[in-house]
Amino acid sequence: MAESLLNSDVLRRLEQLVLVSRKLSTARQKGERRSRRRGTSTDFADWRNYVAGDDTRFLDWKLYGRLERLFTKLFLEEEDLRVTILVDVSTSMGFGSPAKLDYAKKVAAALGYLCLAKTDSLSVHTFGEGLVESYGPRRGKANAASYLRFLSEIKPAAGTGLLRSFRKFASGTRVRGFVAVISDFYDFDGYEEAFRNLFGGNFEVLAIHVMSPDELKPAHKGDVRFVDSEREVTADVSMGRQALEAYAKTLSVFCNGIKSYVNGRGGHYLLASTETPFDVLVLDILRRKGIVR
Amino acid sequence: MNFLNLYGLIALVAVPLVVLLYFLKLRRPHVVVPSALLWKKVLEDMRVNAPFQRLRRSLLMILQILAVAAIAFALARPMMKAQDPVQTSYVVLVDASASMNTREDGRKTRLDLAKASVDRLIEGMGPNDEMMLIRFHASAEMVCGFSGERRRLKDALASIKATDCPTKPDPALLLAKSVCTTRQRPKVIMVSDGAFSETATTDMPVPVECEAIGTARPNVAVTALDVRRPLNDRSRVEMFVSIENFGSEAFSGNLKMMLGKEMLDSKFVGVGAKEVLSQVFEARLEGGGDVGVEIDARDSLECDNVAWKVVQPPFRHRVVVVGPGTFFIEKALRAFKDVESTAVDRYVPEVGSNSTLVIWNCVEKPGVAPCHNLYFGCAPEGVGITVSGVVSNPAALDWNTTHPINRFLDFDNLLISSAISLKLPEHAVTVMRSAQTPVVATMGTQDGSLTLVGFDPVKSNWPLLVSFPLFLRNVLGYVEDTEAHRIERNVPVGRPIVMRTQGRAPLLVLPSGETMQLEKDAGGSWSSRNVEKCGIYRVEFPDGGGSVSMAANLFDRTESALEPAATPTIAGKAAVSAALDRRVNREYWRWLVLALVVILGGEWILYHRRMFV
Repeated sequence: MAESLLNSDVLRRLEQLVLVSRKLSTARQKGERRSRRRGTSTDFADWRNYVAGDDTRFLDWKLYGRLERLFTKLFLEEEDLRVTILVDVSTSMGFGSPAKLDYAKKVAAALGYLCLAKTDSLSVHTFGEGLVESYGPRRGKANAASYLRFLSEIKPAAGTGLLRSFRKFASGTRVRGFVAVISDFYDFDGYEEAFRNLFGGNFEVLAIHVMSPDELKPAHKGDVRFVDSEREVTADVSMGRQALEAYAKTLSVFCNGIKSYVNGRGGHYLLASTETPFDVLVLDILRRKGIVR
Repeated sequence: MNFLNLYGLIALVAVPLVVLLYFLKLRRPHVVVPSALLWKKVLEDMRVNAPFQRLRRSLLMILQILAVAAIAFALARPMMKAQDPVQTSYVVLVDASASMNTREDGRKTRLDLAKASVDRLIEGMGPNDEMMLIRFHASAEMVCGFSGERRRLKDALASIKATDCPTKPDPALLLAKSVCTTRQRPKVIMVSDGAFSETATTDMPVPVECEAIGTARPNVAVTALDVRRPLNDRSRVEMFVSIENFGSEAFSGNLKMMLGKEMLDSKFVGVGAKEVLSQVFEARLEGGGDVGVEIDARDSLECDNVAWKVVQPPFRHRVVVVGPGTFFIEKALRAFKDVESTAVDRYVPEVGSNSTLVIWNCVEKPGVAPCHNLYFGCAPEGVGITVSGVVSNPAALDWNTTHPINRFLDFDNLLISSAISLKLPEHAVTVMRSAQTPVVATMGTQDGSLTLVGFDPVKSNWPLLVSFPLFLRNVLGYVEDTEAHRIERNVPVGRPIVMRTQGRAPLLVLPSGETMQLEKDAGGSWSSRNVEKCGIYRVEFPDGGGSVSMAANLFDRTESALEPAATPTIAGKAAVSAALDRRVNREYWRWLVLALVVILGGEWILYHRRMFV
């Protein structure tokens, strides 16, 4: 099952990558990532004047010998990275060829695997109208198989409720960290309020906007009634050059709106067509964007 | 573009119904998409749900509206004027008579207007049509045979010139009648002002259509002219003129008597509207000449303002009296100043050859002189006259008072003791007869005439009656008239000039000064083409043979009246008014039905393409 999501070659290449995040875990659990906070690792970071109460074990005696002043040595803190992947499993994700959900699963698998490989803490939540299923937190490559199995068993749910899902996630998670949202972001209630919950929780957000080629460039002709897959909503459109131009413009506004909202709050936005191979997305595009290295 | 059935356009009310039905029946294919979120926004942006936005993109509905419109227009039977596709053979009779010289308000002549009408007809000819052009006046002439070439027809049309001839459509109708029988769909169109009497031609194969040209115009015309020498003074001439005013306003102006180009006399005359004025001019004219009259009128037709007569010099009679007992005859002849008489006992041909009249008085076996002959109490042989005895006391029972030799005569008191019984040939004219036999008769010969009186004047009381010298004067006048008309000096316009002469061809000088050679006809006479212009013509004989003048005049009241007839009677029927715009109404509903089929085909294709999207 794991092989169906990620082949061995991709797994091998993923093991060489590491997720770059500015948001390390606030759980003070030791990890393998250097923190900007000073801590107790073996990596020297800086000096500061000694103040009463400092641990005398960290006094730099050699410096005292030269300057006759007391300085305390500071070391980098090694912290844990808490990575959460939110996978949209709403009905709308079941469209496309390949289905957007399958594509999202593969991207989530890749991101999750490289986190497990670096012993980052990984949690996965699927959401539709609310949070549906959860996985983790787990760390270590030993959990890769269970993780991939979890992903492969994800089934599409009903509608989309970004706000409810993200709010529930943010309120139930006290550990800040990196959140990757893989979704098509089709929510008639909008995405801003939902993202506000994530950014308000001090999460570093990576929004992966998955769209199928049919959505990016519709090929319908004539008088068409578009029926929403999740809601009782229809749209009667007479397809033509003008309608296609208007759709392209609307789509651009929609995507750029999410992008500017996310980027403006220190997040990352990535529009992913299901035409783009997921390994190219993870191994190449995310690397070029500096999200992994 | 016009419609034969405007009510058909009511079907256009179906167009809004189509629009309504379109909204009701539109079945869009349902396409399930991940989310209609973006499409909703698209719709908000485009407002495509607005009815007209939807209509704009609905090709199918537009096609249906077009189909309904096509049906509506087809029901309205649209039609346009177009050329008749069926081949038509036009026989166009162009009137070139004198009245066609009339100048209309635009200063164009009626012939110009007629040509313009025919020109339109030529322009309107269909690709398969053909046309024949016939010019007619007193006679008819084909100026262009059946042809479909517009250029050729127009050239022939331009060559038609007006004449001063009266209108006689019968020759043209007969010509048209003969050519119509050779064509499948002939049309006879007469382009004329209709200034002619009823035609004699009947049984035309197709009704003759007439394009009436011109409007009623004022005109003053010389309708009659006669010039004579009075009996008592042969050196003078008397001219009798009739002038008719055909206009609705009185005319006044100068009436001039002309001798050639010289004006002999002039009178200021006035003629009331629709009235006739007769005038007499007198003038001294010892020799001959061209005497004419001219009205000083500026009216619409000029050729009837002038008329001419050729007056010959006074006739000189040379009479030979043959036979015994001619006292009374010679005495009577001596009373006439223009007579030179000679009495002989026996007829000698040398004497007779220079005479104008030979009087045979009771001559046994009289001959026939090569001139005019008058026989008293005898009859020549070998001319078809048989003498079958003697009749006693024949009484004059009947006499022809209209015959020239009986002018002013009364035979009531005539007493005849005896007369020869005459049996005359059929061509002889009995002038006076008794119960038993013709008494006075006349007949023509190759060189003159024979006048027979079946009794000896001495054996009657006739020499004592006034009718005797009058009879001789009438015979002399008859001789004079016959000689004067031996060459026709006054010819009606529209007929040819015919000369009987030996030798080479005479030359004809036209009033315009142009000359033409006379041609020998089948009868051996020299003849011209028809005289087409009024005026003085002169025939010049070759080899110093001198010349003779001839006058051609119109003298046609119908022609001078200048009142066009919209529907003249042609071939016994009132002519159909012709529409020279030969285009016919052609309906186009079939094309609209074809357009409908194409539209439906297009809709079918469009519908199926959408189904497979």
